[in-house]
Amino acid sequence: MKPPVNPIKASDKLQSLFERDERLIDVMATQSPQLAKLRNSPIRHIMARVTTVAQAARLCNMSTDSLLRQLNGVLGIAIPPGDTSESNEVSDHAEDSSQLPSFTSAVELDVREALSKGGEPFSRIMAAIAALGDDQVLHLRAPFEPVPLFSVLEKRGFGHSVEQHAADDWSVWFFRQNTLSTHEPVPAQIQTPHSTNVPAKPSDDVADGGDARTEVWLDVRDLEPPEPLVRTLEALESLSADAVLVQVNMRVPQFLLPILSERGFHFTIDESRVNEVHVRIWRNA
Amino acid sequence: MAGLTMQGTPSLRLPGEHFAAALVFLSVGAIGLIWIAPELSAGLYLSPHVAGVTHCFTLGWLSMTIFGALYQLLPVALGVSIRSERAGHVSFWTFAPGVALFASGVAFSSLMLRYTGIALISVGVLCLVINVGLSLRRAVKRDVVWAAITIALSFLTLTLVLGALLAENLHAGFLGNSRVQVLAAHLHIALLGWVLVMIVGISHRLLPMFLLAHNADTRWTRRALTGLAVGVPVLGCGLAVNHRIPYVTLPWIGLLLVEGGIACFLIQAVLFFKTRKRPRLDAGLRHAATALIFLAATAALAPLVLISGVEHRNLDTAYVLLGVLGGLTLYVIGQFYKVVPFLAWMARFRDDMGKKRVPTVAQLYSSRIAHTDLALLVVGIIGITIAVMTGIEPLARFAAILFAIGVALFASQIIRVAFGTSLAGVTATPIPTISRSPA
Repeated sequence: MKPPVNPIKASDKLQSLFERDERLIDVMATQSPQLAKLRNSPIRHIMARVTTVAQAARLCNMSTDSLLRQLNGVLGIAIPPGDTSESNEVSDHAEDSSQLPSFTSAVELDVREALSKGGEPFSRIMAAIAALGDDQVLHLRAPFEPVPLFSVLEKRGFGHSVEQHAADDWSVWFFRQNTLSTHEPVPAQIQTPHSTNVPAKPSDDVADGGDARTEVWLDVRDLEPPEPLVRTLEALESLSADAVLVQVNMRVPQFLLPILSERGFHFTIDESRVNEVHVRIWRNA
Repeated sequence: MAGLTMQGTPSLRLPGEHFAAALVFLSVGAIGLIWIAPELSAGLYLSPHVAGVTHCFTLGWLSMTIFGALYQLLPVALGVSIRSERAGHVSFWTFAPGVALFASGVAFSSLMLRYTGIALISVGVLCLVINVGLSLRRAVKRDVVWAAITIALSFLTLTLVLGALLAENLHAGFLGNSRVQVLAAHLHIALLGWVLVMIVGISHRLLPMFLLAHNADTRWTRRALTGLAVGVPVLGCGLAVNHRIPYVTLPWIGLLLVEGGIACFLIQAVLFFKTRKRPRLDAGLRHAATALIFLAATAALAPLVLISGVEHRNLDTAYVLLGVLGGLTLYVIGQFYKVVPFLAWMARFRDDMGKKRVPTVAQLYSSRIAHTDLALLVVGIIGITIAVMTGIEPLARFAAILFAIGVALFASQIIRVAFGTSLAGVTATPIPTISRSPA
């Protein structure tokens, strides 16, 4: 007698699928450009371990039901209609876990270019997460909704907030869940930090009419260390409450950042330019 | 000083204890140089005394300083903090006494001191390699600096293995006539693979920062690293086994690659200096620039040493002295003048910055004394090199004394930086380039 074959479920990890039958790699890879990366062995090695079928379905904008039928079909397993209810539960689980809390600073990480070159940004993301302070958020920019990351980071106590700018342009903010209780929800404007090609605006900015804040620019690129540090702190001493200081530097001013936090300043760092880092600094409300 | 931390950096105590110990070893090495001057002038580089003093410079001064600098600079250079500060302290408290015991054991032919020393050094080095290695794994930015540190750590491990082999050979003698060849391999892998590769990587980040040379073509660092990363193992193998392939021997291939790497590094450094926006060089950068000249001179001498072989011991000894004292020690002293006063300044004025007028970093030490120590060190290095080449013992001792005085002045400067209180000429400067953003 033939032993019963277990059908693929929405909660199954892709890795278990591929171990079961390698033909399923091709089935998944043909669903969307994002999943086509599964043909790349190193990427598959990482992605398949953390991605469930439901998450994969969400990645390629199709119903989990339909994907499950295709996968099971390849294995010769017929699924009766209405037998995939679990898939929806799992898929819905990947929605925004909560609203973005206010934060001291945002760590910017753009993996769009790395992914377009076939790179694997998972380690970079996890490194950025590991270095994230309690009052910081990670702003991840990706060419698709990084659904597999949500559950991975949720297990580590991180919530997320998602915004789609274009079909291949997503912003996701990751933050520690335990900061939620002590922070106000963030107004909607915070979720479009790159819309005007300037660094992320602080939440307090927006609350106080941030777009109307006066920008004071301080270019320290031609100063030898530690002059940038001294000049910036001098400038901040006279910075009015409704102004934001934009320090233009060659690199992230690592020695300045802890002093800013100690002295009650908020900051964001924009590393999107080549050989130029913009640090926006403003006073706590 | 405990408050001096930036995001991800350890407390100042960790690099501080390394820098303090390094300074002690440099001072001991400088005094030891006077002691071994007669043996140096006789070209007796295999003498236990010479080997002991050499390790004060290589392990105690150069390696110890690099260890301390790594802990402080990893977050700045690569944006990644050190994995474990505690492991850093364990590394220091095994490595520092280990070097002292090992150098003494070698110099005074004490088997027990040698074994204890090498065991402690091994623990210290392994702690550092694992600690920094794990930190490097987490680095997001994997550029030439990351590559240089990774390559240098690999060579450090190889150096340790060869060093342990040579130390055991002192007792067991199993290397026989190959001892000098293995010693040459150990020496070149340590100085070129570990110290110079690290210098190339760190300089890639620090030189443009200190010189304000942000427009320089930086591709030469990658070429330098490639030359050294490939050339050092080839040269090391070539020196150790002297393997011969048709028409050419392995050491020459290795030397060619290494010389190419050094040339690329020197070109990179010259580009940084030429494109600098800061016309006047301070004491630290002058030390570094002078060291680069010595490094070029050592590289020029290398083919002669390879041609002449082990029979010309005075030339061999002078070559190593010029490289260790002129090319590497002087360069590290230059970087010491930049990094240590900055850290001390941060510790002392952190709370006042922006609120009160604070002195500049340069005001923490005397520029006049710094330039005097540079002059003494340069004259001492040139003098001792000539003395060893020509075999003039009094000149060797006199030059060693000048060098030691130079080191003493440098040490006094650093002590003043760390503990000094009187600061003159405090000035304030206006805030530059503030403008309203375009509407």
